[in-house]
Amino acid sequence: MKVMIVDDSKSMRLIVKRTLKQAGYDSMEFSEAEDGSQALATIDDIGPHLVLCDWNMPVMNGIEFLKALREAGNAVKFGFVTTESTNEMRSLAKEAGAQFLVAKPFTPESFQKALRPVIGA
Amino acid sequence: MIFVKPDTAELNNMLAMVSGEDSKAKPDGSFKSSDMCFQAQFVDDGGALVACCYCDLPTAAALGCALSMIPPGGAEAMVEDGEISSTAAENLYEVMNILSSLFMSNTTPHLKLSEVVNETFEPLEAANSSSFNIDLGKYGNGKLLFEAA
Repeated sequence: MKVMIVDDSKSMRLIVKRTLKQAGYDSMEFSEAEDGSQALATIDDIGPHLVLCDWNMPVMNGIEFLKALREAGNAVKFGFVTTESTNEMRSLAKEAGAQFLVAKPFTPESFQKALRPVIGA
Repeated sequence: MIFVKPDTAELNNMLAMVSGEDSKAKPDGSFKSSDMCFQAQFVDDGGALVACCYCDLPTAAALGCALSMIPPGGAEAMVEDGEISSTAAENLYEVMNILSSLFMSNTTPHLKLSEVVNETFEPLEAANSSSFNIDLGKYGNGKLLFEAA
């Protein structure tokens, strides 16, 4: 399974990858982008099955990226991994077409719980 | 106090996330900045120094190695050598960047990591402090000291 991680923090991208491996997702192949704009420019070539995206990023934030994706007809499975996780953000994410939101700090179990209904594993 | 005093439970969650280990942080108010050898400096939006996070060498090596899954033996070797590798130093910077959120809440001003310095510290005036003994599983034990305006 191809997974695109979109976060302006290099360390956070690394932590997400490591946590997914700890959660047992050993077969995932990762690609990375530093913000929504970079992700939008490369996603068609990469063709991920799942996008894990930060909310607050420079240039193009996560919700702008998700809206741009859906407007372009891209239905890739999408989840936010973000520090802030208010009810308002969760409903905004759902309305825009996100399947889940994982709050930071997260654990391997947080990802298992969020991903199980989405990728069936 | 302008900024938040780091909470033990939040620190544990944060350390567990960045290290990938079961973290056990216990408050220990006996640490002073003179016990430490690394200082992360946090500045407000005007560039003024407003908070610091200090750690000792074993903690720097442990956090620096754990972030990118460098085996614990690598951290032990750095402690024996008395210095951390450039990779561990870069990782320590990233860890401190993540820990910056422990000082903030919805009601505090914003702060950000400026730099992580070794040995020579700029003192933080009128600071409130909290310090912790930390257990980072297979990466061993360490010390963290937080100071904030």
